[in-house]
Amino acid sequence: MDPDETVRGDAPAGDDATWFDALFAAHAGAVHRYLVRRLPAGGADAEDLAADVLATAWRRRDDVPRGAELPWLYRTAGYVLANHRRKARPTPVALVPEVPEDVDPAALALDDDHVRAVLARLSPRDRRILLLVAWEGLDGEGLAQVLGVSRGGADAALSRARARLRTAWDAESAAAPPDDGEAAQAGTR
Amino acid sequence: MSRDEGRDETQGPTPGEPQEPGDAAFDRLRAADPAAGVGTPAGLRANVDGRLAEDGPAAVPGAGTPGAAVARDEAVVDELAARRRRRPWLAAAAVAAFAVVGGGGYLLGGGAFAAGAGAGDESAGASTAEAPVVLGGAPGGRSGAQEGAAGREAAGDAAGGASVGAAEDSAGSTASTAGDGLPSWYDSGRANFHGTGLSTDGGTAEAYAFDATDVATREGAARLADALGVAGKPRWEYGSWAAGPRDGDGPTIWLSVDGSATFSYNDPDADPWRCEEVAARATEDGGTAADDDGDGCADRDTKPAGDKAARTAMTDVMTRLGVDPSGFEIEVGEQTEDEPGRWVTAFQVVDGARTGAQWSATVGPEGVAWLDGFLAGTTDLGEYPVISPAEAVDRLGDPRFSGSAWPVTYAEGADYAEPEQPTKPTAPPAPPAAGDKVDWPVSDVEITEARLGLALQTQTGGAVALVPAYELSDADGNAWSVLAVADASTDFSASR
Repeated sequence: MDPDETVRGDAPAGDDATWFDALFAAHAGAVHRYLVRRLPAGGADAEDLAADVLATAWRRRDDVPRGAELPWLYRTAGYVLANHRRKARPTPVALVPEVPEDVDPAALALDDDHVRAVLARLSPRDRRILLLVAWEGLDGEGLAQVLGVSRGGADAALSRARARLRTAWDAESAAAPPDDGEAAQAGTR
Repeated sequence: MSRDEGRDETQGPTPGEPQEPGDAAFDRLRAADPAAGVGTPAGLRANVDGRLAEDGPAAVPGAGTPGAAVARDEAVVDELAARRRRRPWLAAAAVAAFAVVGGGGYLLGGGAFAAGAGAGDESAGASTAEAPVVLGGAPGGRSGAQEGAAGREAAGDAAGGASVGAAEDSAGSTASTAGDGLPSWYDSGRANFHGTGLSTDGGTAEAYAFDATDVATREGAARLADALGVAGKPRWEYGSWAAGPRDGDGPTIWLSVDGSATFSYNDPDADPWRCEEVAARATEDGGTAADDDGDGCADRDTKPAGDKAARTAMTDVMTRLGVDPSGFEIEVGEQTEDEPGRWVTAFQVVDGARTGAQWSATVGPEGVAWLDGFLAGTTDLGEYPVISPAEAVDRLGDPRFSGSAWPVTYAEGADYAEPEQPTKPTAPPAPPAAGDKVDWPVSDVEITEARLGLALQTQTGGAVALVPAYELSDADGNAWSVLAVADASTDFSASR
């Protein structure tokens, strides 16, 4: 056998490591951005929390669904974030939500105040759904996996959230007209 | 790190949902993404490994496996991966491929078969071949013929065997979204099938198989490495053959010992995003895009390859690997703004139909940067007896052949109708009356059209065959698939 030929077919740990390398290469940036979006601007916490999420993925590698890693990571990031907030400000255990409230508009790293005001008019669940699609770019299937609901349920929830976003947008625009709506939209692709 | 850097980059998320026209609020929300253009911190992997090291030295991924520190802190590699995410199904494929996922196997592989396709020519802009028939019970197996989100989903499913579970889930939950005017199988997954005007004549049809025995070997890996200019001898790694440096310092190949001889190739030097990142970091560090650090980025061509060049890059590399491109239909993805890479896909065509096996490449200004394909040759298994279209419809109701009533292709516009939101308060449903019959809706589906084609089918031992299969359609365009090979030529024995 050649010295450069290493046999690892019998080393499952090696397969896991390869899987984790691929997971890291494909998704570490997405996890980091997920946290950047949901933490106060300029916070250095995003990287540390991303490392927590990814370390959790390795520790619980047997639970991570192969082929649906990213939704699992987003879900875990939501819990890690909720945990982080809980540590940062004392919260009675009874008030800790079952579903991580990871999109409090006041805490979002958001420059667009009109968008922030519109989001504040929505329920936490609607905000969570909208941001997972608008920012994380999840599709219906991914959304279903993050929310832990059926694909049909996720599609319906998204369409309702979008409808309520439009309503909230109109209401907020009537109350406080957006200053630079045209400019911001011109910036979208 | 500043969250404002590179704000205008196109690194944002892939819009997952089809845009609803005129949804200004959603557009504005999307544009407000605070993480647009935020890259992966260079030290993130070290940070993760540091945490895991606290669990004990053996708890770090790859601990004890030499060379597993591959590209640990290669921010460049991470960025590339993030970029590739823009084609989500490709990223999924990469994960599946790297993880050597067991079970059904992904369909990146296939055969190098050239006969009678005539599709690889320059003029092949639109597909002239029939779509592949996709077998295996409908859930999630939507055919690529459908455009848009569903089509992407199909591509994802085809590319990643690991997503099979999720796909089943998807179809299962499809049921709950049935809206007005949809057939009840959309809800229940149950149907009775009957044919109208279908032939009762059976016949014979050609079957094929992929032969990986001479290529998915150490020698095959060496030939692959040679042809692609990859240095070093093949080494056996994680159940596959690999060659090239482990540190991202040069081109690498990876060849799976599967029935299709699936392989992948990456040339970091040709990667169209590498220099963008190098330049961005140099600017960030207060300097200019440095050309004295040996990265060779200063005078590189950054103009994306044109359609023709991208296509030629694919046909050239196929030819170099001994595969005749004329056995494939080649499609070049649309050029998008600020996107230095071009995506090229070569769909294998046999007997005028796509088989579902394909090659895909990312072509940068300097050539092929990423390539996934299969090296197994396609051998003719001769003629097999096939059942008639009318009998095929009967098989749809036979649990040995059909898992459910969900189609493999949905009629246009049938996709996920939104349930109506009640505008007024509604009353809860009344309970059934005593003695009422129990509801168990079963759709009646009338099959009006049958097409005999080929479907990729993994055999029990892992070999991959192209078997005759019917695609059966109703008048609305929903289509179901079923094996066409007659019982006499089908081995039903199972391990338990």
